[in-house]
Order: sequence, then C-alpha cells, then structure tokens
Amino acid sequence: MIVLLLTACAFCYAAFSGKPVYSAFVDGAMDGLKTAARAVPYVAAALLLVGALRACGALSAFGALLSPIAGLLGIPEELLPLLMLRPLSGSAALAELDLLISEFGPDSYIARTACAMMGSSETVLYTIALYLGSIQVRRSRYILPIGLITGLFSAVFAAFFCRFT
Amino acid sequence: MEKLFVWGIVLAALVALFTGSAEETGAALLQSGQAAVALGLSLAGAYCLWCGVLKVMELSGLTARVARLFRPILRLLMPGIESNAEASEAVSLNFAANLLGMGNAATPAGLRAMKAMQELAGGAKLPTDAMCMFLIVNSSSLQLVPTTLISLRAAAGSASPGDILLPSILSTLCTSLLAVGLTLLVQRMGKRGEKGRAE
Repeated sequence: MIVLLLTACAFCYAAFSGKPVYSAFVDGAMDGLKTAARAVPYVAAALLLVGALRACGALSAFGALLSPIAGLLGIPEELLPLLMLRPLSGSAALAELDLLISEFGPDSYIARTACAMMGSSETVLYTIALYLGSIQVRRSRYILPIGLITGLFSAVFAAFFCRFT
Repeated sequence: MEKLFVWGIVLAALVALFTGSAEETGAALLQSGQAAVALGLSLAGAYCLWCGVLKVMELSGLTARVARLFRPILRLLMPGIESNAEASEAVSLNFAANLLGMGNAATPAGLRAMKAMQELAGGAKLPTDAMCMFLIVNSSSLQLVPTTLISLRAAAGSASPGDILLPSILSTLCTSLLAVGLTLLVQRMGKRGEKGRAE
C-alpha cells in the first residue's frame, strides 16, 4: 500500500514539475542493479562465515560460554541462541524467534522479550558487509565492536522494558 | 573484516574436525554461496524499483525537501555532510525509510549515501567518521513499528499482538541513543589522540 502510494506520488510530483519521469526511473534502476551486483561477493563472504560457524557448532558453544554474563545483564537464558544469531543472519534469527514463540506461547515473557529484541536490533554483520562492500571498502574501523555491543544491549533493554509493560 | 574472515573460517574448520561435523560444515559453505546469489537477485529486484523512484524524486526536488527536515540531526551526528546535497539527501531518505519500517527502500538510499560520502572524502578506502556513524545508526534498528513481529505474534494466536509496540519502541530508542553515544565518544577520543600525536 505505502509502496504504491509513494511511487505514484513521486511520479505525479515529478510529472507536474515537468521532469522526464521515465528516463529518470530507468537511469536509477540501472544504478540499483550495478550496486546490487557489486555487493554480492561481500554478502557471500559474510554468509559463508556465518554458515560455517553455525554448522560446526562453534556458535552454540560460544553462546553457552556467554550465559553467565547474560544472566548478570538480566537476559533470560532461553534468548541466548537468538542473541547469537541476531547480528549474523536475519533469516536464521527469524526462524529462532518463531521457535521461541511456538514453544513458550506468543504472550509469554520470553516471547515478548524476544520480539522486542528483534525489533530493536539489526543484522549487524550483514549490514556492514553490504554497505562497505557496495563501495569496495574492506576495513571497518570501530563499526563492528560498537554494532555488536549495541546488539547485546538491545536484549538487555528488551528484557528490562518487557518486565514492566 | 580481514582477520575476522580468516580466523572465523579456520576456527570453524578446527571445530568441525574435532567434533566430526566436517561434512555438514562443508555443505554449509556451498549453501552460503548459493544463498548470497539468491539474496543478491532479490535485492537487485527491489533496488531497481527503489533506485528508480529515488532518481525521480531527486530530479523533482522532493528529496531536497526531506533532507531539509533532517538537517539539524545530520549536523549533530555527521558534521561536514550537511553541506553536500547528494550525501545529505541520501542519508535523510535512508533515515526516513528506516523510521517508517521500509527496509527494502532504506537500503538502496543507504548505499547511495555511502557512495556520495566516499566521493565527498575523495574516494577514501577507509570509512570516514561520518560513514562510521551512518553505518552504526543503520546497524542499530530505527524502525518504530515492527510490522513483521506483530503479524508473527498474531499468527501464533496472541491475545493482543500489538502490545509489543511499547517495549519495542522504548528499547529501539535506548539502543539507538547508546549506539550514537558510543560512536560520538570513540570519535572524540580519536580526535584527541590525533591532536596529541600532532603536538
């Protein structure tokens, strides 16, 4: 709905101000295709890393290692797998969330916290790979550590706010 | 990225050998490559639409209007960007689309913003402070209404699927503030360090 409205309004506005809508659209679409193509190898590298770490079991082992810290921060233990997956893979995190909802019930504290955490975090690794990859930049300075810390705290905040609302 | 990539794969290989899951891990590698191409194709489809619409909006001056709304925020977060029309317009559009929960429109605008900022920095191969801030804001969620989550809860038979809204907005607000705060702190410290070295 919003997609259609936005597109139609943008086209009307441009047409009324006498701009060539069609040729501008085609120009932009070409840019979009090039951008997507440039980013694919970087996304492949990120997915490769995540896939390998998950399949070999290193990810869940690391999650178990993290559980005392999570307890200190007030994050329920049941959310650890989600917390580990969230920065790495959007679809894997969504699958895990679905599992939590069906296991604990949609209105349970665990499921609500999981939802709030999903809603207040992003797939950090993928975002960084895509954005930097599209301009062929290979170093990320302090972006990754801050992104991961923020991701961890999305769970802390979600666990906290879900207790009261 | 370099170290993370190499050591991550080496670690995975070692763990796989020890736990005897080498077959599965190898299969996962192959699968990831395929997943990346599939993802790239679906991204390309969305980018075609959004980059086309963006270009039309840009030509008619609509994006400049959006950019004017976000100017105070940009001046605070990414000094040096607001004087450049292309970069500030793309950044503003990305923020606007993110707030509205239109992730598939936000990304193309975001990638354009990265390109414009890189050109502004003379084709830098290292992300500038503005680029870092932009990426960090983008990797902490900005979305106000988590539509996917609400529909997921509704599908699971929740009594009131929308009651996730308040905690979600509050924690989104907190994480975004935390992300921006940490980044500003690191950038200040970086600048002080540079000054120290120069003296």
